Amino acid sequence: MSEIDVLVADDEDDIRLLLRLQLRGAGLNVVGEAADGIEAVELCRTLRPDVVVLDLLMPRMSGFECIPVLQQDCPDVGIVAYSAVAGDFARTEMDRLGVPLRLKNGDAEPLVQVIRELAAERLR
Amino acid sequence: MTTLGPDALDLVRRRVVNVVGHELRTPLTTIRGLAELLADASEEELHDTLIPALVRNARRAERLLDDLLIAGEIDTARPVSPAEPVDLSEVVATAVDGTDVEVEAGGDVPLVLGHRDQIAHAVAHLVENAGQYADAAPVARFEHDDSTVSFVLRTPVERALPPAELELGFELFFRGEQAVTRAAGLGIGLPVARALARMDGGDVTIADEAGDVVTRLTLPRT
Repeated sequence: MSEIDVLVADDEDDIRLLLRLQLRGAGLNVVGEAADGIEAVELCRTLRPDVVVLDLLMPRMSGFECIPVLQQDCPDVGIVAYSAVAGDFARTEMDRLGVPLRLKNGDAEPLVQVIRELAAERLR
Repeated sequence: MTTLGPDALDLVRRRVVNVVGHELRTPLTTIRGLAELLADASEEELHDTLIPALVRNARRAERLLDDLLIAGEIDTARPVSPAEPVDLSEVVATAVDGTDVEVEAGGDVPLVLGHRDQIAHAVAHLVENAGQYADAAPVARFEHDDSTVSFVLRTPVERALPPAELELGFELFFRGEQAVTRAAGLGIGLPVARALARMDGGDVTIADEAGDVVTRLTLPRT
């Protein structure tokens, strides 16, 4: 069993399904799933995962809005933005917030790699 | 008609390619990712989970293509079959099933003349739009006169939409201020719904009524 616990936050049911299968296949523990930023914050507070995979465009509370809240409330949780949006605004904002950004892609390897890096940083 | 200069045209081109690419990315990411998991999946997982998800996302990509053809007023998008009587109340009941939309009870709704698939497509866009931006359950009702039937959808929103956004809602690829960071989307739902309605001799309008957003799909009666 992996020692890395991951929370997946995405409003698309099928992206959550895909990530659940891909991350599990890579040996990671998907400990929770959130469909918007508010759920993501609530689950991070209660589950305290090592890393949250965060979509940027979500209803109720977007990933952009969610990140500062998570950084304040759950500073020990690593965050990776996983988005179909990678325009200048998203890149600049993620740079400013110090959050790595990965583009949604059928290949899970780049995402798995950054999750492992964030989890390793957390253990240091 | 306003003529755009080269810089503005380039901006529009980049914006269109960007939003189309963004919307295609979700179904294609899912299709590719799930397809790569097929080989190692159990029989049960294949039939219960992976294949339905693959079909769902292929349909989503197909619908996106249809929307783009309709929005671009490409001839292929126009129906080839003749118009026929359609039960608009049944179409709406199907579209709102599983959503928060409440349909007000009323008398019989007269049949409209059109293409069922197109009308269902237009209604689906209006219901989807309402679901994305509603701050309370949207309420649907029907109105009719001697020549038309209307599906009226009232969506409560916390902050009234600026008048400019109501006007721009029918512009291709326009997305309201609240939509940009809250939800993915092409910004073609309203123009597509209107284009579909107009193909059947109807129309879609949008208005602010006492702070609520009200969309109205009107079609000719049989």
